[in-house]
Amino acid sequence: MDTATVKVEATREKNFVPLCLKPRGYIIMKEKIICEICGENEATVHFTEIRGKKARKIHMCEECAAKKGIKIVKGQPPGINLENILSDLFSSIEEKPEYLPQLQCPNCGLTYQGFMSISKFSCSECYKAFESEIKPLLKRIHGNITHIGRVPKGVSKKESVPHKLRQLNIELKKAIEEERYEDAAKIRDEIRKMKEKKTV
Amino acid sequence: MFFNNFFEKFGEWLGGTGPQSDVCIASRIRLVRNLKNAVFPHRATHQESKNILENVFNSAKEIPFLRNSYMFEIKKLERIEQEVLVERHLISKDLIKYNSPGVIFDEKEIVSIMINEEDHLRMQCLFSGLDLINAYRILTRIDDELSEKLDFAFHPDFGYLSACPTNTGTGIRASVLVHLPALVISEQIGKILNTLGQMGLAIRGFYGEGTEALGNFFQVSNQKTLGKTEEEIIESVEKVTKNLINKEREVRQSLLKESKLKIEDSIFRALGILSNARLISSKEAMQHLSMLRLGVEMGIIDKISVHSLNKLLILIQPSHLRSYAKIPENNTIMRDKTRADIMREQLRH
Repeated sequence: MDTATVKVEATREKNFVPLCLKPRGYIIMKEKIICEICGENEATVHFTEIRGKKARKIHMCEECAAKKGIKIVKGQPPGINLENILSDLFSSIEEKPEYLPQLQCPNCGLTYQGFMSISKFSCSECYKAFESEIKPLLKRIHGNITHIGRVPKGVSKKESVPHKLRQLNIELKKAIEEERYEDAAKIRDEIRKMKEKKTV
Repeated sequence: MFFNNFFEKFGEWLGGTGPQSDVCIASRIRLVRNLKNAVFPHRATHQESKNILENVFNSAKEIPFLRNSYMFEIKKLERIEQEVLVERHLISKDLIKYNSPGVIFDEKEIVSIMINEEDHLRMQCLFSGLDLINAYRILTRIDDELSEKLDFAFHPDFGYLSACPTNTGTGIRASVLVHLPALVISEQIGKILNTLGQMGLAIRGFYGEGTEALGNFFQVSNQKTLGKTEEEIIESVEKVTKNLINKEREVRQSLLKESKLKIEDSIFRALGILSNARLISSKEAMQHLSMLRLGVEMGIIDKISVHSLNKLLILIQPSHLRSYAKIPENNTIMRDKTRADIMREQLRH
């Protein structure tokens, strides 16, 4: 066997869709490629073996590929799995254990570490107890830390900053729609100021 | 009583009406609410959860919209009844795992409120077609009325507080159920799902999180819930959906132009199988129903309504069939036979 130049490449199909998103049983206009080794399953691993100057393509299913010890280079799956993202967010914080603060919710007793391990709060008061720590987390998840949406009945709307922001947003939209760009710029600056105040 | 005649009536959202209903089956808004100071369901004791369930049931009884609603304690239902509710999109599969779970839903199955799921309350409103904003309007009324009776957990900065930080803020999930066979056939779907993911939208299967995209149905929804108003979030999902619908329609047209015979063949084969099969699995049925639906929507097949196809989508689910024909749990042959019988019956004309 010519071992001088053995280059092995294994790639996944170009339009690979993870199993959870794979529409089952849809018709495919082009013919399926069947695994050359077992002759049963659909070939999803396309293997190019280069020996010397000769290149040979082998199509096989993932099972047979695994049996042959071929590692598949997994690409970024196109589906977004929220839990994965979340655990990524958490794990990147968890990498620095020395910064983990010793916080505990006075209402339910959940510790900050406990929150980090299950990525769920145990009661509404946890938000207050961990407030300083969760702002960066919320920022990473949502790109923002200020709620400007609905407010429950009974919560004073006029005084709440979120409500004002909400009103300003509506005004901003209206100003843009009506092409009052000078007004729009003023409102935009006001929104910016309010948001900056909140993040300090 | 709901479980006596649920085969005869179906949720209004399956009506096949509403804007853009040739591609967009339904629109759904979900709002997450929790009660102040109370421990969230995943950590609550039996007694705590029970108290919350009673509290919410009592408050809901006083709300005009929910006055004639069904209210069920999930644990008091038979397992098959629980599964029927899941198949009708009235509750999630996960709800059953919690202490004292409950559900409230109206006769037309427009609004449903899950109690003690991941959050104390998860309210949803389902509309036929692409109509997120009207679904939202109905929910806001119920939300306002409930918030007068229940003390919702709310933080001046973070908004509505949820068990999982991914729902904090508005607690809104605006999602659409779209049927995209042409994008799947033309193998463009992978790229499109990718793009949607990059735009911060979540894509799920027919029964939500962690489920397969059966029969070329996809759920598209927002992921971020904080820092935007509910209306802005709804608008952005609606805008993307409109683009998606246009793309699907475009590809349908080009398929008709370029490979009409092949498409017609697939559609009529699907019809042939569904109206002749003696045994059929739900997966296979879903796949052929998708093609049949494409045929109806493209005008290739007439005499079959989208409404009846929508009903079939739910009726052929395993627990509906088992319940309908009183089939024992493990008898899959009988189930597949009943499914095939129903199909033939419904498609005979």
